[in-house]
Amino acid sequence: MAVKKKSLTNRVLIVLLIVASFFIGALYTKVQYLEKGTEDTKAGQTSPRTAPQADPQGGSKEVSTDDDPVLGDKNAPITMIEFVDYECPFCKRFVDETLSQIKSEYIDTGKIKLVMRDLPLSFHQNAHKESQAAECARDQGGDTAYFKYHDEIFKRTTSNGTGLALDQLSVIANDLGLNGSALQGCLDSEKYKVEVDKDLADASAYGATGTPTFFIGKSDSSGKFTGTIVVGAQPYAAFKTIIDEQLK
Amino acid sequence: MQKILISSKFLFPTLVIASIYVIFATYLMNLRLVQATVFGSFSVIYKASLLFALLSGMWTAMSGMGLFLLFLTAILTGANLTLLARQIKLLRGVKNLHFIVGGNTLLGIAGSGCAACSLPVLSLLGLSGSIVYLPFRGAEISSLAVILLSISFYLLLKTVFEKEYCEIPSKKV
Repeated sequence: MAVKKKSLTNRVLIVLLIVASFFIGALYTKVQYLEKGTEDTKAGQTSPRTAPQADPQGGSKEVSTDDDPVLGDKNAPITMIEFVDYECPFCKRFVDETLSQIKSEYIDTGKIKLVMRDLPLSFHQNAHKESQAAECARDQGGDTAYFKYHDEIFKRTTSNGTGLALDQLSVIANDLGLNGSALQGCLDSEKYKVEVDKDLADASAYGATGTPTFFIGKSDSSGKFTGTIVVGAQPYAAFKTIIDEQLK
Repeated sequence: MQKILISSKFLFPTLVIASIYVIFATYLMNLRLVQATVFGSFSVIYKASLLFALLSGMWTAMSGMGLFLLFLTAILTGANLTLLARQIKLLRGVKNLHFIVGGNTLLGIAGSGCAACSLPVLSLLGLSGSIVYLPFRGAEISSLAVILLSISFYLLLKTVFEKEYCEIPSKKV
């Protein structure tokens, strides 16, 4: 009887193993399609590529600030790039819980500058438009307007893809004293779609596979620097430790 | 059954393995940074501070559900491995049982990493894009791991108690 039971157990386990293998196999096949570009990505969006490229410097990577918005002193000795998705709950958590401390301790004191780059994930439906809207806000009021708009999106969105209705993007602009209809026009013309897509491509090249992803390193006048990669909404202590080490 | 499950011989190794699992899964999110920190020429204070800060990041960098599934998978993995170790001699003839537990543990780690917007664990396997096709963006993988580990744990428990005593065959009337 015991032998019979054992045999049944083995069969059940084998079946479960096959199911799990099939599951993994199906995912793998989908990825192959994605990498070949044969899958239909959402209109105008580029999915972040999946496999991080070889990273000879371990936890660091050469990255560029491009021409993206800067918070803080442009000549600060340390640069921190954030790849952000406006519908990511962890990006929201970073803004809510950590950014204000980094701002008061390091950005406002001129020790670091924060450069915001876009990485709207393809499964967050409204994220790409929100990224474009923030760029449109920058068009009207420079980096100051960009970061006010950035803060306001995170204040209002409940995140996870459609946390902020797209018709609210011009309302936010009006509330911040910007021209809402001009911002809507900018959005409709997709003026900054290419810019956001470029950030997506750069994020992929740097090995950023999710959001938020940060690169922290010593500033260079060329805008390129070797940055330590930090993934996720890490606590303030993690950023403080890395920044303090870089400031030495 | 209860006697074994609440004994320190079962609980202690289960908790140790579960802790190692949680630490490992948390660091996987920043694997390259952790490697560079541990093996880099930094001061011990820097290494300890950063590793501790990244570990405490599990509370901020994971969702509530992701964290719950991570802990559940960790405890189940610990319990499975502890029971396996206890029965290893008796289970030599059932080698595929061990393989199943290992596979589910990997699934659990993969799932716990991609419950967030960040997908580093699956991306290590080249699978991060695949979660776009999953309705719960990867949380299913953790759930699958928990289900398989629970089944594995149940079957292991049964195996354990089969060996605890000799059953008196029931007499046919």
